[in-house]
Amino acid sequence: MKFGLKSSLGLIAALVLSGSALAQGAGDFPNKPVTLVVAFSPGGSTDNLARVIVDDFGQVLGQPVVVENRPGAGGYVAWRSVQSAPPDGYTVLLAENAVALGKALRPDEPLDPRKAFEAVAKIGTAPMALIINSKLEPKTFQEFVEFAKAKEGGVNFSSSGVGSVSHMTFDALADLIGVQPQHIPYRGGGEANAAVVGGHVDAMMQSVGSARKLSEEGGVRVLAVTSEERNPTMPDVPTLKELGVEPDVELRFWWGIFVPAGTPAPIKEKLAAAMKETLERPAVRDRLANIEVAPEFGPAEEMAASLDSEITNWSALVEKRGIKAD
Amino acid sequence: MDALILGFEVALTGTNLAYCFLGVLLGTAIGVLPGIGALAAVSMLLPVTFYLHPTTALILLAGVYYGAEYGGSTASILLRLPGTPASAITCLDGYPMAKQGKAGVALFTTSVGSFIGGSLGIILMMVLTPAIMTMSLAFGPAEYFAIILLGLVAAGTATGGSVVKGLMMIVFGLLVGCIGTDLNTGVVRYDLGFYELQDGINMVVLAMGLFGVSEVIASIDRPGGEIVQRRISLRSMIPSRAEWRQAYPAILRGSAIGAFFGPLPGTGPSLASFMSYLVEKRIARDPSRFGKGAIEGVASPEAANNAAVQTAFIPTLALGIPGTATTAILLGAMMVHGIQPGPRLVTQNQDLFWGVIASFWIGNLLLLILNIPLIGIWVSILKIPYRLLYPAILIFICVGVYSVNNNLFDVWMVLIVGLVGYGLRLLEFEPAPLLIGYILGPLLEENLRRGLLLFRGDYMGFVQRPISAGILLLLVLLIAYVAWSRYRAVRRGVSAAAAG
Amino acid sequence: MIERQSRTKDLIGGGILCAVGIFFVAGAIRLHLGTAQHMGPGYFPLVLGIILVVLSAVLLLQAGPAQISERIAPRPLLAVCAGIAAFALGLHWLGLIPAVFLTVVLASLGDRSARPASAALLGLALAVGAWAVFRLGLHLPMPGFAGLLQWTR
Repeated sequence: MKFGLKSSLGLIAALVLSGSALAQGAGDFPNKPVTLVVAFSPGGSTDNLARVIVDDFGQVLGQPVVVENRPGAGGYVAWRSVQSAPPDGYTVLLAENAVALGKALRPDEPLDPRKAFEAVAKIGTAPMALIINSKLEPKTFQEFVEFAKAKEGGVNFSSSGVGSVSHMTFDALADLIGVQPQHIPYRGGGEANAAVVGGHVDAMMQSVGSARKLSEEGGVRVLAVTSEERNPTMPDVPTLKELGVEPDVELRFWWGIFVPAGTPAPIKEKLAAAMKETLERPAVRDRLANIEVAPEFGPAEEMAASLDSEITNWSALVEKRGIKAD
Repeated sequence: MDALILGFEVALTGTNLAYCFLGVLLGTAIGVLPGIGALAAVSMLLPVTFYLHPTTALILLAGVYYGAEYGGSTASILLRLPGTPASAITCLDGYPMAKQGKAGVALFTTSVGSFIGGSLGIILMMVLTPAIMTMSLAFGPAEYFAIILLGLVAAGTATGGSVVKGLMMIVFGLLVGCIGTDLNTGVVRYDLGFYELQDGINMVVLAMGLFGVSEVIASIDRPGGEIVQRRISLRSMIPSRAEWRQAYPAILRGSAIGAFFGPLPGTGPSLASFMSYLVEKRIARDPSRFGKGAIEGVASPEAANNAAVQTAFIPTLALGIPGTATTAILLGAMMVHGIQPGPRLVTQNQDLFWGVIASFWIGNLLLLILNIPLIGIWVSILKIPYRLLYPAILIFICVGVYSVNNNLFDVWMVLIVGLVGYGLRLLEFEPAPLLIGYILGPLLEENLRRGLLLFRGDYMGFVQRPISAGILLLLVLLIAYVAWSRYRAVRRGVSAAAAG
Repeated sequence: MIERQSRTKDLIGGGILCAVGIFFVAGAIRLHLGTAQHMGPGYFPLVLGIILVVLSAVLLLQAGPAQISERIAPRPLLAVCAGIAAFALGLHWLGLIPAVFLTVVLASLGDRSARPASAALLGLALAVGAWAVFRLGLHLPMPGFAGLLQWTR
């Protein structure tokens, strides 16, 4: 009863609001602050990205942009709230791999990001690297493969949590090289890094930036990077492609912005244009470089296509490896 | 040493000093709003700091952070509204002190205790940073498991009243900690169909409900429940000679305990304040004073918390492991400014690392100077009749828990937790062990499971490593000691009964 | 009389926590238990739940006479519950200012000596104060008016 009333009122409100938005087109959008929803707690990589762009994004749009963290249920708290927000452009989701991984890991979940949201733009990516504890024997990727196959009980790897990018990408890699690894989940990337440096676990997949930093300090060895080309800061480290390992899924972090389905096209275009301009600002690019995000603007169609292929490919891998999150 | 002098040179420039002051001022002001505290303030200020020099930015944010920690203990002493695990400990004796009209003394002790704890923590950091870093890295699942188990058993055996009831609350807390997504498998446990419960019950919600809401219900029509407050003079704020004699050794012990536990990522400050409280209670001549306004019960945990907050910066800065949500934002701020946390930070960015460390100390000093005059104002809050005060407390609780996740579910949850807390209070169960169990439970479980995964199911793995074996030995000794002293007490009681 | 009542207190406490323990055990056995090496999600809560049941049994057996210190206070209990519930409902449907006002007025009723006029005045003052501090000062995402009153935003 309560829910019926609530949702019907919400529907009316949504209709009224979307109706007015439609009538106006993007005319005076935005005329009030825009909310940028982040599905994870302050301090996480997505939150960092949000805080780095939010000021400039607001300046370009001509209205303040406010970051709203709605952590919970692996992102679903935020995603559901965006799904049910009025499609007027004032609620924008800053999404990351988790949107696709979440759907792949929970096929029964009614929220389908492909239907609930409409892509606005791709913002950036961060490639990853395979690191191992520096006291371990393998010096190259091939030696690591041998080592992993030979190790009794399986090679073990840390991750920043079940279903996290670091977990899924390692599993994807393990699938390609034919080993059955032991997953040791930690709470967050920092703890997972420390576990490798401290020698408590063997290996992990980490962002190239962190991997480089850890290797410079001598705690870990970087064996491969997932980018198309070698990383200029680590020219000696081969790419997976060179090593003949070519996964179906993209082994890297990505970010994009989405709005609730039904948002008028002129508003989406305005948001995308503003994001493009934001990402072109030198100050923003400097700050993005510092947090290891490569700005990579992509139009809505590209973002939508890449979300679609991510969900398909990760779902296939999850099924094949029997990974479960629920 | 040279490094620290360099640090002071950096921290004492006009700009940095001004931002440090601004930070602690802002932090104190926001910190007294329980639950909202540092997280909101720091994340809001983050974009502002892009336009500052990295060191200055960190000094500002760190100032807000420990200013808020400090302000948080004010709210928990005056109103029993803890926003962090550490301040939940402070209110065990701080709030009774406030009710006895000694709020000024409690706040003064807090200021001095925090300052000394922080200072000693900084000195230890100077001398021992490399050793502490080695220790943080050497702590694997087995060591964490052992030390958490030690903390839990110590807490269970030292709580007031019945040991059985204390242990029951610990286990209840551990079970409450199980609610939410299982870290190892991603399976959701005990969510009862609420997806908001998939991340478990929030710490702030639990602390505010157990302590705050239940206290409000119980205080409203308690005859004479209004907090008595005499005229506040400087004299009434300064601890008496006898009180000081009890407080200062406690501050020193607390600082040492805090500095030791601080570097354990994630667990440091909260474990430190629990342990220091328990140590005080254990060595006190009359443990029954605790929970009724024992000054050591305020002095020691506050000192421990602040010492731990300082030493906790070592794993944060050197390993990039954030201990709390707020330090996670600090880390983010550093990265935005192009400073990568890592062991090299300490050696390569000496001016930044030690500048920030020195500013911690200056910030602590500023807090001391700032807060002693403010104590009078804080205490005068208690002069407001309770019938006017408690609706405002409820608003703080509601807004505080809502702002954690911007979710109304947490407001409903604090109502339920408050009812549970009130029920436990009527049945005379202590809420503090429940909170300890809840905080340490997930850490206990995940380290146990991680350890067994790595040792391939062999429990002996926990004893085969020297550090964890040592801690477990300590645990056995503790249990033996408790059993022995119980046995003696029982025998004495029996002989006394026989004599009488 | 007093002795009997306080014995009841430990009996109730033991009984309730025993039930809590059973609830967690019942939930745990429906989860995957796993082995010592690969502990399932049910392993840890199962062990804890059993420990809680055992401890509750000990408490029930040794429940002895003790002084009663506090009795249930129905009026404050109801008022505080109503106040918090009003905040939860009000914030969504009406916005921060009306929610605070309602909470304060309802909660004030918990005190026998409270007068409606002064409660309303306090409610108004706190509503404006809360809006100024949390919305204007801290920019928390809580509009002054929302939901049904949204057009006034």
